[in-house]
Amino acid sequence: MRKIFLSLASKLSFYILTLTIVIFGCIALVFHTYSTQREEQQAVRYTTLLMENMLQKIDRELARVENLVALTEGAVVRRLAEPDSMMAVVRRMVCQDSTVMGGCVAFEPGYFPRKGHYFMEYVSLDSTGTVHEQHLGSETYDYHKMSWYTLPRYKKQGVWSEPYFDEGGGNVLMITYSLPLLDEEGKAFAVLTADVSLDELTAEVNQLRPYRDSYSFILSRTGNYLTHPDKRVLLHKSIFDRAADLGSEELAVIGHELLKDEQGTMRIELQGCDVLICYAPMPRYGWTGACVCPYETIMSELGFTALSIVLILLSGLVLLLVCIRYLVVMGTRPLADLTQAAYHIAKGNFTTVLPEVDTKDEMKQLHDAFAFMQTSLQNYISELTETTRSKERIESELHIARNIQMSLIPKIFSPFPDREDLELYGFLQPAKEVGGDFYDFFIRGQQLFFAIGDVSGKGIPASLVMAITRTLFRIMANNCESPAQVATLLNHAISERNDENMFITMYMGVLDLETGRLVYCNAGHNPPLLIPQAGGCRFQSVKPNLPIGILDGFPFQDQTEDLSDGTALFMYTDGLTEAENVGHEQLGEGQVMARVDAAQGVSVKELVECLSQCVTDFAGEAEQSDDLTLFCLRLNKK
Amino acid sequence: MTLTIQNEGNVWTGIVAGRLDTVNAVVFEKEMKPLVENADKEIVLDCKELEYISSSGLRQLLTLRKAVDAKGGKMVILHINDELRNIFTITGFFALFDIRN
Repeated sequence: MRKIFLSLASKLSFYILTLTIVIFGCIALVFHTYSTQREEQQAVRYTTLLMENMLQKIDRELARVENLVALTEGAVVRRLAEPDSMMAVVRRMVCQDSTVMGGCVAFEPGYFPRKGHYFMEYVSLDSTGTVHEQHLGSETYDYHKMSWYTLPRYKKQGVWSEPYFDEGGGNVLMITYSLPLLDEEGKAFAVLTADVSLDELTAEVNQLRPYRDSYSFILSRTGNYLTHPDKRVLLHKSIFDRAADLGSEELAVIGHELLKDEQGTMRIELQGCDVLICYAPMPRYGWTGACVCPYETIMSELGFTALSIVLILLSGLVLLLVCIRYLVVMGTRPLADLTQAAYHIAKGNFTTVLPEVDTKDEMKQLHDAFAFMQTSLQNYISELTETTRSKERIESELHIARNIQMSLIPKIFSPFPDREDLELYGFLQPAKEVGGDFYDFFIRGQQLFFAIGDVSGKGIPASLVMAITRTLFRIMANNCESPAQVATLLNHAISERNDENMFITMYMGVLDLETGRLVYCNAGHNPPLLIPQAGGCRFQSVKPNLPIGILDGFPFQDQTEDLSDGTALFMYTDGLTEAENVGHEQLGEGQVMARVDAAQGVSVKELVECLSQCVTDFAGEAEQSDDLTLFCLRLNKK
Repeated sequence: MTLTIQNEGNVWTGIVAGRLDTVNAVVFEKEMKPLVENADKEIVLDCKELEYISSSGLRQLLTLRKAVDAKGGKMVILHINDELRNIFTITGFFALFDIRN
């Protein structure tokens, strides 16, 4: 039985847990969505802030170089009269700032006629810090046509070059700031340059790593990498070159987006990795700084929080499960005890002590209902026992009554062994233990007195009246000559105290055994059948006298009939003609006559048995509806 | 068996339908109480739909008739079918009651 409780607990647990999980799941989903958005916003804000700081720092460093070049411009202008001191001026500039790796001053063709067509003083530092001075400018190195010279000249303002590899000076990536020197008419007469190593810039930019696995880089206005943590990437020169090399469309898209000279963020799939890119322009140089952060890393913190929450939820659910099971099992424990008690009671042990229930809930109600049922059962069983006992008593009394009643009916056939000419046979079967049908006969002298009767109704009331009637018939017939006389006396006796309006239909006759003359009186009974030996039975004609017991003083009338040799007189009660089958169809007089005709030539005993069998067959499953009596006699003259 | 009792002025009509056998006779006895109580008036028993009557049923009719005789009313039986007419004839009840069509 414990299984049922466990399954009840399991069911409850299942439903409650399912509901809880759904609710928790919804909350978690909303929380997750909200947190993700917040985390992303936070990441963008944080990264942008860091990057702006970094870009400002770089801007300051580059501005310092620009200042240095501007100061050197003053020195150059002051010493225009001494071309030979130009190398020293450049040298001072190069040595003054650690980020400057080289510099030059280059003049217009033939600016100093003494110096010839080309005049360019170049100072550079190699990787060991040694200073190298060179006079450049020749037909093979015609700097007047080089972009670092022509562009600032043309623009009449300082210009930062695209990054390039300085193969001579330590194989580092460099950019050059070129400033045109203008005369009073605004015409450029020389260009002053400072070469800046991107190594330090790169180190600076590489420090910008707001998240693990994130990295930053700077693009020039044409998309060339100024810095990138991966040196190999720098070899690609431009982001578009790299995109083409990698066959990565996304990278090209990113490049276009970054070079729009706007600040912003974008989330994009980059080489199979979901990344968030924050970027901001450096308008003074036309550069763009960008920081690439893998989305997964940004959310890793959140992932940890989510995992903690899930763990807490799971623990909570397990705790909930345990609590529910405990509560349900505890709450339904009395059920198990009550079940045991029910089994004991079912086995007939009505005094089984019910388990105590302390709580004032449904269990208590069930317990009380159970106790009530137990008491009711006890009472019912004791009543039933009493009823059964009294029923048994009544049945036993009924059985005795039946024996007494049956003893009132003649059962010995043949009753007159010395009268071989008289055939006689009777059959009586009450619908219940006792009934209201009867037949009787006796011989007085040469006369056979006989009667068949049917008391209205059946059962015990009818049986009492039957006993009285049969007894009165015996006494009265013994002192009377004609059946009508008997009927009149009987009617008077019965009618006198007949508050219940019981009545008896009777057919009685007196047969002269010598002559075969039958005197008969029918008191409302079914007319008997006359069965000649030659066959062709018919109903005897009877006068419509009232049954016995209805109307005191009713004038009963006799009739006579001569029973020719071998003619049988077949008497019956309505239990024969009105025998019913399950469909409430009656056997009917027609069928009875057909049966009688079919049984022509048999003894009266066989005829009676044949018809009683006929009733049994016809009724089938149907309960016997009325008492059945068959009584037949035949006088065979000597 | 059903017994429907209708009252119209001085006339009490009982409409019997179905089978008036020994079992139903007990029910009939209870249900015909209003007719017995009004036995001083004109009692009409319509047997148009009565299919069968047993001796117990006849006993109830007899009880009703006695009540009518005792209280000085009138009793009429209407519309009995051929089968019932046969039973009434055999038992002599035909002469005992005022039977009309």
